[in-house]
Amino acid sequence: MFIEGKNLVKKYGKGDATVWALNHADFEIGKGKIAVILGPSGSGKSTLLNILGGLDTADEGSITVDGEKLSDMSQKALEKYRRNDLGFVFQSYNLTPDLTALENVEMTAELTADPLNTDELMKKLGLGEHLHHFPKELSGGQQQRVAIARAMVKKPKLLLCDELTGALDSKSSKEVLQLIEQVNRDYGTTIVIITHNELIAGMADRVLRIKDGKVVSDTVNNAKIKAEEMEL
Amino acid sequence: MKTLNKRIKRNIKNNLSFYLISTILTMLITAFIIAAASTGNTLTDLIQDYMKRLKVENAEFSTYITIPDDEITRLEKEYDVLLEENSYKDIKEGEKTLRVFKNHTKVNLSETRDGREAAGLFEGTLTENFAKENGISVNDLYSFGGMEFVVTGYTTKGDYLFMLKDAGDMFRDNVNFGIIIVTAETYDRIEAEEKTCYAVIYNQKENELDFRKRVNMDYIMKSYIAKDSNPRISSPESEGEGVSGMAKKLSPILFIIVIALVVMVLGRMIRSEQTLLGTFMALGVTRSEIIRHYVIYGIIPGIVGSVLGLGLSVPFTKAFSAFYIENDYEKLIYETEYNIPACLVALILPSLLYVLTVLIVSRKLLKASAIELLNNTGKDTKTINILKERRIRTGLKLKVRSIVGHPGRSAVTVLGVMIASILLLLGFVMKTLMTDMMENGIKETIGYEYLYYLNYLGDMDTIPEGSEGASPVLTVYYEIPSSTNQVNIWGVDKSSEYFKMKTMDGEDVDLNGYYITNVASNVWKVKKGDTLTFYSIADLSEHSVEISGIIDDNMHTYMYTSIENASRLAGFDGVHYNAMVSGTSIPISADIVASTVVMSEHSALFEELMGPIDAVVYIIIVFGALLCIFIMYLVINMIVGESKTGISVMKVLGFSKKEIGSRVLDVNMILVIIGFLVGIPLTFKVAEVGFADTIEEFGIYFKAELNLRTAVGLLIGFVIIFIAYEISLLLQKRKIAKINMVEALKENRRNE
Repeated sequence: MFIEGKNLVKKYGKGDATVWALNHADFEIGKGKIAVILGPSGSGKSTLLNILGGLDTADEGSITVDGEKLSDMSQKALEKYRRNDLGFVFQSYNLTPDLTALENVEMTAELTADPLNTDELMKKLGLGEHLHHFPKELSGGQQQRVAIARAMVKKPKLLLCDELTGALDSKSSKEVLQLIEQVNRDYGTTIVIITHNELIAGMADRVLRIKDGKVVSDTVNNAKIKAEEMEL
Repeated sequence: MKTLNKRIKRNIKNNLSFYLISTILTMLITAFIIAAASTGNTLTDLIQDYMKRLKVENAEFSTYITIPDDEITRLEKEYDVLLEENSYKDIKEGEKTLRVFKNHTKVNLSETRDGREAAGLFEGTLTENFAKENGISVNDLYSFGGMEFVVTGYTTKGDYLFMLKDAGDMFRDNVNFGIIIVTAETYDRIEAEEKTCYAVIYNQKENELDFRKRVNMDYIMKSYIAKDSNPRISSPESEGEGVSGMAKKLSPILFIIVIALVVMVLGRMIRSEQTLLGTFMALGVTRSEIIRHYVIYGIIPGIVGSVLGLGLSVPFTKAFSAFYIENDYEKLIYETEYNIPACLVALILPSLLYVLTVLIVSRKLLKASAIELLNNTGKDTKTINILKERRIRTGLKLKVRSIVGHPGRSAVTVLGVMIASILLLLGFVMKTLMTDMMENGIKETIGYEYLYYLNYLGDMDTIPEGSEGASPVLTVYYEIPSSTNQVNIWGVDKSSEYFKMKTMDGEDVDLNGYYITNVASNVWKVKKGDTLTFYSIADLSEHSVEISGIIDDNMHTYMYTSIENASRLAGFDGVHYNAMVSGTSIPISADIVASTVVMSEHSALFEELMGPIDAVVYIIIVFGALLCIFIMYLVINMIVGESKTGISVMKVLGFSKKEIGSRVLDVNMILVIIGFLVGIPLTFKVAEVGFADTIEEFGIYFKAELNLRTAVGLLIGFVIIFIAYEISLLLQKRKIAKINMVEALKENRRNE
């Protein structure tokens, strides 16, 4: 499996006040698949994302991405992992306000030795007319496109999306999700989407549901539908 | 509201760097302003009180004919003056001179402490600096020049607070020159030549000219020095004004910069809390309650900094006062006085301005609706299009836009570094100018080593025995209208090898003309071709000459001409001299020598005089470097604070610490360089203004110019600024390392 999480435990606090953010969670995600992790607020999905992104470590258990055990990695190795293997898309885009759309993507491209061609990527993601626009001159959907381009330009193995449509209207949300499908199709990137929006699960190859730190269901979506057909 | 105010403690903890640095800066600047103003007050009041108490002269003069005692009484009545003979005898032993005075009763009184006034035969009170330098204590038996004195106490004499042997000297010499006050009986028994002169106080200033004319008519005036031209009196008098002047000139600039810096950062801090302001509004907290809450943010660094600064100003004032009073002059008993208006301004103004800032920023923010605030729509929305479509590295674009896109922040950074640079460079420029003056100032302009002032007026036909190889000169002082500096006209033998001078334009000096020194040119604002008017000290006759050129001498207010011209100006029949100059010591009879000046000893004295200034220079350098670190730290702290989310995102995206530092922090380097470069010409300007006082006080002109030595000083200054910048960066890099990557995601979750 491309991603394997085994017996993951993450606790906060002590004694009676202990909060189990992850309570012996197990899961697997195959290479090149789209996985959606669903759960209400406080379920532990964000903690899982943090651990998967190398931003945090589990107290117990192990997590492996493409054969590399994140739980054994040093901070330096985790930095390298994020730099070379990981793409991140945030709900609030987090673009650098002083850089144009193209420059935001170029900034990340400069991190890797063999990035995608920024102009081509931008055009492919429908940003050809907005290359020289600053974030504040773009709509939310356009900003999220730029954020996806920024994440994809370094050809990551894994794309983590944290509530990527959370700040968008339904039309923009659909467009962004279509883009995610396109990226998955064109570049074969494994994509993990964390959301509390059940409707997004329709486009996933695999759906994991988390509650109280436990993976309560892990299903393969045999009735996968295209993003453009989803009712968001 | 009480619960709301509980946040303040946490806010201080979260923004500890800001509160700490802004409090320290407020404290330092408050202490500095109060100390500078108070030292000026202390000095001015102390000296004024001292001069008044000891009835210090308005002028001293000597005459060719002695004024009889009954004539003194008559002149006093006729011209409403206080007039007293101020004669003295110099006892010599090796290089040391002990000047003996009787106790005066009308003018230039003396004050005894640590003992009692001399009452018996060969008892005397000594000036303390001379006594200390020579290891003499009260009650010691002091042998000097074949005589023995019982030292009954220490003394200060009103007209000798700044202990110059001759009024024309520039440097005091506590080791080799002292004063002893003895009884009239002892004075009469001392076998040494008496120099007779008179000290006068004009009760009616307008009587001065008539009085001088009358004295000249009846007793023939030999010399006349008004107190403003007498550095023994004018130097301490002007010192207090100088310090006060510095406090008035420099302090407001420093104060404004520091306060502006804190105000700017504080304003930005409040702005960054606008989402929270929106939340408070949504919760029903009233606008005035919110404003009252945020006002505390400004009051804390304002009040704590000012109060600590007020406390710190006490040792600062004591140290500054002690530095000026105890280093430069004879020891005085004094108590430091505090400048109450400065204390009040320094105490109130920072808090007032900080609170005002909070009021303005929060009131402006609160004009928006709660929803607008919650949506954070008040963020800076300026678009910076510079380098927009240029294919260069984004790191560089980010740096350029960070500078241009935040003009307020950039301006304060540049201004802060500029001020820190000025302070730092001022120290180096002062130091290099002084070293230049010490090494070249005297040697380059003066071609002789020995100057023998004769006690008679010689005829050019009869050169004194033993003076072969020496050149006769005639040096006569003249007064310049409305100037405290007198011009010393040097009549020089045209064939003398010691005066082969060139003008600053590179022309040979033709002694048929009249050449003034560079310092004289600056003091009286006259250039080549201008006319300089001066008048004789003796008969007040007026003379005007056209200036033929300027000679590069920044230490002496001299005019050079031929000895024939000088004799004619002095009103002599024929050509006369009153001094001899020589490259080596000459076997001239001691009986005809009034005093000898050895130029290399002058250099040593200058070095000694510069010693205390050196200390000031180093204090300025350290203060500049500290200020630079604080300013840099505050600004970078602000940038890091404002870029937290961006830094967090960069971390998530896999940027290394170095790459983040380069994109977020290194941008300031260019501002540091700009601030430094802008600071250079301003430093020279400030140095020029600062040294302007030395022209009036010492007749020395420090020419602030860029040369190899000052360039080295500037380079060292830049290295210090750079190190200060790197230290503040290093401190902030730790802060960057602490920024949690989850911050970026938290931002997401807040928006959920």
